[in-house]
Amino acid sequence: MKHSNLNDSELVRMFKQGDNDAFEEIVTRYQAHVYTYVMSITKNPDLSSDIIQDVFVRVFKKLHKYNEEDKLKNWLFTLARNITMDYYRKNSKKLMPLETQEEDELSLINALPEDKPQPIDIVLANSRAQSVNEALEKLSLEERELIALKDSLTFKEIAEMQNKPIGTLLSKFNRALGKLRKILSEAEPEVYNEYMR
Amino acid sequence: MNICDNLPLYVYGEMSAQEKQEFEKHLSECENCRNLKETFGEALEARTLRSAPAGVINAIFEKTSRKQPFFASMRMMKLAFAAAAFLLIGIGYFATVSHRDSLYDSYDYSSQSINEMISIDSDMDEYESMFVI
Repeated sequence: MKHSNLNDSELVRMFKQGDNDAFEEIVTRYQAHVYTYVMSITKNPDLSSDIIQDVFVRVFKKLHKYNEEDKLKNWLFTLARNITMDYYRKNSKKLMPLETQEEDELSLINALPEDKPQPIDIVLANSRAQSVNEALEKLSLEERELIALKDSLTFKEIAEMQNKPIGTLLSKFNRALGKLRKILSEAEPEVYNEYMR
Repeated sequence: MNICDNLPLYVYGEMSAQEKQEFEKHLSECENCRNLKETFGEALEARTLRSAPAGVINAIFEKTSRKQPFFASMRMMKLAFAAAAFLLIGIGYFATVSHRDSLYDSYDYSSQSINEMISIDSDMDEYESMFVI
């Protein structure tokens, strides 16, 4: 049976029956979600790598006793959040956001390799994406975390995870969005006016 | 709660059909929500999931699903002990056998002792001949 076709509950059940491939499918399915989320908090690739290793090792050890199979994704993010906050408490200096540009951020130079000239639309899109990403980095930790969680969870799931009313989350999300809009308009007024009005 | 606050639910498709219809009516009347929706579109487009480095994924597997169980390593140790014991017994056995060979080798085959053995034989011949007669 192909594990990639199974839902989370089925994978957890199979893992409990001793199928380690089911665990590997869980890792493959959620590693990018958890890594992106942890990166949004730490902004540090090495530390984020350490944290996601801890997260999945802990999942492997505790999954046998986990009974809410349908909430696996929520549980993963809760674990990731707790482990990240533990790191924050223990090594606050190491968690200082990196000042240097991250490897995978798109720059105009990266978007224009010498051998492959790219259509101007792609270059502009990449440039806009970079501006938005830079603006996202300027948001507060809580706002970045909320936006990163929204990549993977519904508002209802986030509300359950953080034990907060949906209304509170929506207000925070809108505030973050308003802030993002302001940062973008101040940083690149021309691009902002042209593409975002 | 202000109806404008529901914009994220609309953008992420987390509204029922009726809620969606009501919000679209609001959207046509609210310029602020329309502007924020544009920012939303850009932010969503810019967001991409970042995959963890392959080495990290492998490290997770090595520490969990592909980790050699403790008892398996114990079994390997037992096998190693058994092999070592077998080897020692073998060495001991062959050492003893070669010692026995050396005991046989210590018999004296010198001409004097051979002559003694022949003389015994000849005494026996005499005895036999006397008896037969």
